[in-house]
Amino acid sequence: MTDELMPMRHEQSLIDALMPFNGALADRLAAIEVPELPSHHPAMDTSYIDDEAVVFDDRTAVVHRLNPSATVVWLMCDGDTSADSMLAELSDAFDRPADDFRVDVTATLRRFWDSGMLAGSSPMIPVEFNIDLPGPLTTPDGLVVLADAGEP
Amino acid sequence: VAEHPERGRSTTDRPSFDDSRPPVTGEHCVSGYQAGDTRFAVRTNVAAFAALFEDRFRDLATGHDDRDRAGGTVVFDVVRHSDDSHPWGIWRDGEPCETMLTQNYVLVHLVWEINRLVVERVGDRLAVHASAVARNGRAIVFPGASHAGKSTLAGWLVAHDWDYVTDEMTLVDTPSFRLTPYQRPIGVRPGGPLARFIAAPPAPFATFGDDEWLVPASTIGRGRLAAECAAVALVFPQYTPGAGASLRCMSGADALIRLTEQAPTRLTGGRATFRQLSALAQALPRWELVFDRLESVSSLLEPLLDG
Repeated sequence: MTDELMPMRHEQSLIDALMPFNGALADRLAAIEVPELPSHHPAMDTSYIDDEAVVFDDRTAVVHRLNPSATVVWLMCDGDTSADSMLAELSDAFDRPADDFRVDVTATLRRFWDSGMLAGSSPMIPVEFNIDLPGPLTTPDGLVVLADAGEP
Repeated sequence: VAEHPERGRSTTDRPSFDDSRPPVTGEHCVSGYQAGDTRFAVRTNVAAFAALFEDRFRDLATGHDDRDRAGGTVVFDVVRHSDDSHPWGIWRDGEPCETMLTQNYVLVHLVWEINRLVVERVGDRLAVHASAVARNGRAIVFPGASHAGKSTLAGWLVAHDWDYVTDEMTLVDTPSFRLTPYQRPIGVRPGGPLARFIAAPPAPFATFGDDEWLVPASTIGRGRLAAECAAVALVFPQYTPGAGASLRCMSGADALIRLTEQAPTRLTGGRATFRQLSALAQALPRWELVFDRLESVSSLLEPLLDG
């Protein structure tokens, strides 16, 4: 199963956003376990189109696109189904050992959690880091060390 | 500079400049315009600007002289207040929008303010950053970011016997998917593919827009303006050098993601807007138009009108 949960450009998880500024806090957030019985965060609104899902976060207007495999896991996040139960259901449905799915299901649930899609998690936050110098980087004696694109 | 009586307060974010509307002498008022559902009028102290506005925005004229703010008409004051390098300012119902504009940017900024007005007052409808054209009451919508080719496509197709709906903001009623026209002038770059269809603006109009001419669609080709019409296809334009022109089928999820990116009310409208976008993406056929040549675009699109 390939996890193709794709956030929109310029948005990242709270953990990723925090990392450059407060690595310790980001690490603590990353260590929080996905709930045993994951469920959709109430701010999520899901549109199922063909065999894919597009999930809208009402708090931030961020949208997540789920590929068919991630959509199956998303559908099982109903608050009554544990990760082990998901593996059992997939094992039955595809007639393969449950362990074949363990890595992908665990990773997908983690992505849902880190993206703020599950109840109890923090939302993705829109970020744009534009740090612009007011002019080219110059030495004290006026030598241009680094000019912006378009600068002479 | 006198305080404008309708404002009653001065701004605090730019203490070095009093942005209350200066008193206007020799005022010219052009009124009877509508953008989306909103009626608006423009007052200015420069006769040439009033004439320019009347000429360029003729496609938004309702034919009704309506300048009464109490009746819901929004009034833009476009005032030349000095002779320095940024002599123009725009106020909306007495509130400053932008008070230091250059001569060649004032009309562009006014168009931007009118766009904002349309989005603010979209009501229950869906606003999508998209151009649209129609034939026989059936419309194709072209959602896309700036520079995707929306306006160029719309202008080209109007020049080739399609009816003009909008080049910037498509207003969609859901669940009927009927479109309300917003027929603002189309931006045409001198030397660009649309330039051959229009005459260069006469002086002094040219001094109000050096880089781009705002051209009423009614003056391009046969210049037909669409009435309310039904959306029948979504086509996402992608200008790609060397691509020629081709249509590719697009997945619903791709279309919904890109529609959401082009919905200016997705944050304020939240899940209600998302559900409208989802309904639109599910109901209509979805295509990506990859192009750099416009000559064959019209014939490519015609079959889409049949659903």
